[in-house]
Amino acid sequence: MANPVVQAVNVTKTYNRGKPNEVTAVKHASLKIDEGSLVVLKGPSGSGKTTLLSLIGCQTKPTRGEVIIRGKKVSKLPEKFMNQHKRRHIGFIFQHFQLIAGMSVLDNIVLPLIPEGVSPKARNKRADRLLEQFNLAHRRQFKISSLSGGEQQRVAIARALINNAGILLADEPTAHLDSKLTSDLLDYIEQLKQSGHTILITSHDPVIYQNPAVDRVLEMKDGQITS
Amino acid sequence: MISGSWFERQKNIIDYSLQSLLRRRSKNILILIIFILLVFAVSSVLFITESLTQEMMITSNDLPDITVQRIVGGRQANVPASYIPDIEEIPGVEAVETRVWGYFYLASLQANFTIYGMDLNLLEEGEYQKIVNWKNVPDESENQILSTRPDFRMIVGQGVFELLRDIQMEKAYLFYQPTWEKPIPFDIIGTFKTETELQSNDMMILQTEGARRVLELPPDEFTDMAVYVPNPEEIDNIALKIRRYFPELRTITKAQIKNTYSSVFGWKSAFVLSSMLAAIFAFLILIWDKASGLSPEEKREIGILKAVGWDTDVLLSVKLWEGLILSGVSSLAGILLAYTYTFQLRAPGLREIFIGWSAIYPSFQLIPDADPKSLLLIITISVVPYLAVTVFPAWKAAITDPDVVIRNI
Amino acid sequence: MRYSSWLAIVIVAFCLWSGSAYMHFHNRQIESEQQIKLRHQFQKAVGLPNLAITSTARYLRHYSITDLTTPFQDYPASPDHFPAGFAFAPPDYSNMPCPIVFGKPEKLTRANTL
Repeated sequence: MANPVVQAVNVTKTYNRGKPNEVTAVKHASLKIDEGSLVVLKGPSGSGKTTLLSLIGCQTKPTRGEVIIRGKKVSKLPEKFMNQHKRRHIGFIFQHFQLIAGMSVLDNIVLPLIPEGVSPKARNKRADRLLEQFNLAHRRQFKISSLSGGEQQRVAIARALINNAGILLADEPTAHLDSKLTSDLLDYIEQLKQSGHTILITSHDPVIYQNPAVDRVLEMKDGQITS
Repeated sequence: MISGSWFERQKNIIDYSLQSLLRRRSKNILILIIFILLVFAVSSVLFITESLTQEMMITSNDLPDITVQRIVGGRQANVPASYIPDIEEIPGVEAVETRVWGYFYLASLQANFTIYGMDLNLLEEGEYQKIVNWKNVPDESENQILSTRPDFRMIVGQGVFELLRDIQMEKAYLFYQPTWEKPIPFDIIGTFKTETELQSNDMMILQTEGARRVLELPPDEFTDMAVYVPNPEEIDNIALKIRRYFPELRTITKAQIKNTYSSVFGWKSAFVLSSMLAAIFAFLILIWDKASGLSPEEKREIGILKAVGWDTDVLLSVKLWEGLILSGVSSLAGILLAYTYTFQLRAPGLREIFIGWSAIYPSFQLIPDADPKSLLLIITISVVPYLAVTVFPAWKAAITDPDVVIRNI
Repeated sequence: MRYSSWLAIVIVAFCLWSGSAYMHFHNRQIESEQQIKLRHQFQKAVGLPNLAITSTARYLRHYSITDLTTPFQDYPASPDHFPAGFAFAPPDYSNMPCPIVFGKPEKLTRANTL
């Protein structure tokens, strides 16, 4: 039995607490993800998938409950240490890619390494390897705004991988892609899985959750994990 | 995961700050230029004020302790010699010096020259000798009119000398007023060295007896008196006594003259600064508008950086470096440009406003004088508020959870 | 080359600029030492105050000891109403007709247009 690298214990997330527009996005959700597995979180929009992914990805703290990443209760850590843990163990691919438009591909990819104090030489070496892997080497100095959607997606993946993080989280990665690009993406995800990454994807796209490479499919509804 | 040293981390942060400044190039260059202009304008006014005031203050301690004038009918009148023994008797007075001086209006140049009468033989002795460029006095045989009569000699300032040379009177000058029977010739036996031109430029120092003739001053009367008091604590008391004994006399102490010295350029600088006030405020508002607050794009950028694992303090250091680089570079450049403009280029434009219009100008090379306190003040009032208006909104954006960014585009 | 190296170059350039300004400052101070010495002597010999930067009127040349009723003595903060307060010379009034000419109204109007 493999170790659970990601664990959520009874997490609840309430936004705008005490205000009239209070919303509980995730209610008492618990999950365990084993090392090296590919898990898909599916469900209709507004079911709390993205919030749960944010909680696991250390983008926000749960109102109640605990998130444990590689044995560390990150939800209880001060922000600085949570961020450090996040930088070292989690790569996040955002739904809208969240790249900085005015910057070059290379500069976007190395963003997570800057606060770590990695020298530009080491940064570029690592980025070049990823650019090669994702077939972006010819776009190295291009501005993000001049790239196509598929290229932006690949830049986002490369940025998530630059830390050599073992855990990869992707929020609706196929939402902006056509079927050709979606199958390309699936190829990449399979490659990553084979290289030992633990991957958690939220999606309501059947192409993703019906893919044979997927180990587990969890379904969410109204902030709760139903299966 | 490779982690670099603290130093490498700071270098990365500075790199990112500069990159981010360059990415918003047009906005930041505008701020930079306006910032430099503002600092430049304010500091050149301060520089020229301080250095002009300093020019006057340098010699203020060599002034007579008390200048005594006689006021009749609200105007200055000649002082009869009868006052001298009475003032000399006041305890604490070391000496009373009578002075003969006045102005000579040269209609063709529309300029007033200051005529000061003194014993020129005094200038030939000791230290005083060095302030005069002595000229060869023409022989009696050479010219009948320009005889070396001891009472009709004079030493002129460089500015006067140049004007007289233009009208070929550099050896002797004929003073003339329409009411006089005939002109009075004076031999020019020397000029004051250019080093003293800020004081001597428009001066004609005549032998006392000759000066009396030119100024039409009756014998036994003087223009005013200089009273010397060895004990500086006593100056005000003695001035008070003089006024009590002789209500018609007016006393001007050294301290009062220094007061006018410090205020004359002070109010000019206030005048210049207040006339620039509208422009200064307009530019400040422009900088405020450009620099403060964050555009949605900048907010998004901060969110993305937080989402990829940047700490709040790293984000704040980035913003701090951005502000520090921009405001530091511009205030330093502004001050250095102001220095070059004021002391190396001699403040064209500003100088005319400060010294005013005049018929003869001294060549006017100012001795640089910069008060480190005011430099520090300029830097503080330009850098600190800029940092405050740029870092505070960034801090507000940086403390929000990054998942807000993930939800919104 | 990385941006922080450029910043270092800019800082070095500023240091050099400040250094040259300081050298100028220092040299001028040394040069002016002799000048100040001579000016002390001049001031001792001739006890009149103020700088010879304007010689337009007697109340401007030695305003510190001028008549009580002249503008500056009245109130040092009073607005700038003497001619040396401007950067340019006052206009030449010497050839202007007298603005008040009794019994000759046509000359009056001409004077006003000037």
